[in-house]
Amino acid sequence: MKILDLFSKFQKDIFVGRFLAFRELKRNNPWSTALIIFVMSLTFLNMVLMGGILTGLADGMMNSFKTYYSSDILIKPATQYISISQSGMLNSVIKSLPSYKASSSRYTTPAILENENKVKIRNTEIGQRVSSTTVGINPKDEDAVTGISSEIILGEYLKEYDTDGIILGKSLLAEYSQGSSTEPRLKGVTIGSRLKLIIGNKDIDVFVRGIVDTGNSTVDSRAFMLESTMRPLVNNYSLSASEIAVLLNSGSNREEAKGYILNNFSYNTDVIVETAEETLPKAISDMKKTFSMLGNIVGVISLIVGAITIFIVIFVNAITRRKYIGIMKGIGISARAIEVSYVMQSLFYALSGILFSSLIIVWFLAPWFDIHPLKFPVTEGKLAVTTSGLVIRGLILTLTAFISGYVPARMVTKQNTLDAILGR
Amino acid sequence: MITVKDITRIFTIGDNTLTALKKISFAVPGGQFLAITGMSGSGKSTLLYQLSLLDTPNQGVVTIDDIDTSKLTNEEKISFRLKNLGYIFQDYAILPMLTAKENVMMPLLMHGIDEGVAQKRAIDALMKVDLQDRLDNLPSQLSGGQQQRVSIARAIVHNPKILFADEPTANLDSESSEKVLDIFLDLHRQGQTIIMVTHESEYAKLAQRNIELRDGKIASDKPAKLKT
Repeated sequence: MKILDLFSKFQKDIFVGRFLAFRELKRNNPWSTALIIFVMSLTFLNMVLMGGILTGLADGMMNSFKTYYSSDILIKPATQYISISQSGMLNSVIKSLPSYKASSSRYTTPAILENENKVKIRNTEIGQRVSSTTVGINPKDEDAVTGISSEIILGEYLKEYDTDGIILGKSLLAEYSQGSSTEPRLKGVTIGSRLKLIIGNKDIDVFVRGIVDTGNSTVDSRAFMLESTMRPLVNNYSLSASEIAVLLNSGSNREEAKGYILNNFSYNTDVIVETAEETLPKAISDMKKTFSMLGNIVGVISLIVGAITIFIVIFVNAITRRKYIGIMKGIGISARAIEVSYVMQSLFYALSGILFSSLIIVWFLAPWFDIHPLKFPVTEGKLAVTTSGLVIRGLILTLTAFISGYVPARMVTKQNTLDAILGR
Repeated sequence: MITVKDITRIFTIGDNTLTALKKISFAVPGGQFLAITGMSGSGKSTLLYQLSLLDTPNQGVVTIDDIDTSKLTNEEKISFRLKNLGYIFQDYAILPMLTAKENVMMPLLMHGIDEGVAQKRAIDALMKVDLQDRLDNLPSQLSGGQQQRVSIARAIVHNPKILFADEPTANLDSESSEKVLDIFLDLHRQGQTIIMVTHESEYAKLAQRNIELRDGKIASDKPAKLKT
């Protein structure tokens, strides 16, 4: 019976609180209401945006590393070897993976690219040069794993018979990237330019077919050519790959795949098998942690600012209406109903702000950052916003608004009724 | 029936104390129209606050219909006021963000009465005080007399056992004051218990009984000469 009474009282409090809140909001100065909602929108934007950009940068670094370099699994020779000697057997194991989608064997070597078209004063003078890691690939396999062909910003991707073609990462070219004075770039090189590729004491002429921009600094400082052209230059006639990137079916467990390879490849001590996460340079994973922490700090500061804003708004509103709160209590309106009305007003401000800024984020900011990512030296940063992230931050701001609305209302309603009416 | 027994109210302001009410006792039977009069500072408003449970005496007991109100908690007092008392404030005290009709609906909504029914009863109450054409006006769009009549409608809409009025005509012109008092007399004729504080002896005479306070004590308690 007592529970039913309490429930009935609670219902009345909610109903009267809603009635009061609705009228109060309806008859408030619309500019004041708009301003408060605007402040709440900015608070929520700040909570989402700063964290989202920082996380987006970290995600951008990780994703580009995974997409264009390591893929799901990256296999490298053990430290004492320069190549994977049993590559054929290893590829058979890889292709037998239940979650196998594609793989690419890469043959890497340090090389020098020389632009002989540079104006030389004397014949003995060397041309403009740049050092790079040159990667021999099967274009079809590499594209199946990394989708690199879609990142060609100028020219075209390598074709399977293009024996003297080369794809250059944008970081090798002065026109596409700016490096320090100690990092030389090739100038004036474009599609069709002839370059001399020097590996050890051998050299061949190659022609630039395309320029690639993946946003990943490792890949963008590489040069790609057909493995069939490159292997003879490094005397590799045994198909011993320098690294093998393996793409798994979407949603597959990388750890399981790694375990499968290690268990089924007899020469597993000769290789290092790493998942995408393990391949990440420590600097990137540290950066992700730091960015996440910075995002959280900015979010918490925004939350505090938002909470104080709502607190001040509700407190000033309640203080200026202290007399009327006293009158309401005087005519029998419960303190709880009055508190409900203030809490509902603060929830209205917060939810309107959340809704307004969510629409801005989803309809404008996220698509805008997708088209115009932030350019950073090591990667491109997009806005990392997920529905769950928005919901969680929205709930936190709503809870904060609830507390920030309730506390000042409670402070005023618990004052002596007569003192409130008489303004004592 | 209200019974007041030996109530004393002392205010402490800094190091000083002021005894506003000194051991006052009296009883008000149901249906009576009582006027409490006295000079400014005599303690009449303070007495009304004790009777209407807006304030708590330092000593003594106020009993309403055999309920010892000193034993009620603050929340219970609010609920008791809602169920049993109506209060008309000197400065009208209607809520500025609500229309006349919404102001009158408030006590009914707090009773848990359906919004539609509350609206109908509020309109009836406003018609009783001749404000049927001001239902949707905000307080800022009403004159002082009209605001006071809204306040009366709000105080009577839930059929309270006792109606308290604190200087209800103090801020009104004579025409508006007479309208308000006519309403009180009409309510009284219908059996409403009314306790009104006033410093205007002319209006006090309209009541059945007149208690005059002086320096926090009852100076006289006698039937008023009822005007017809």
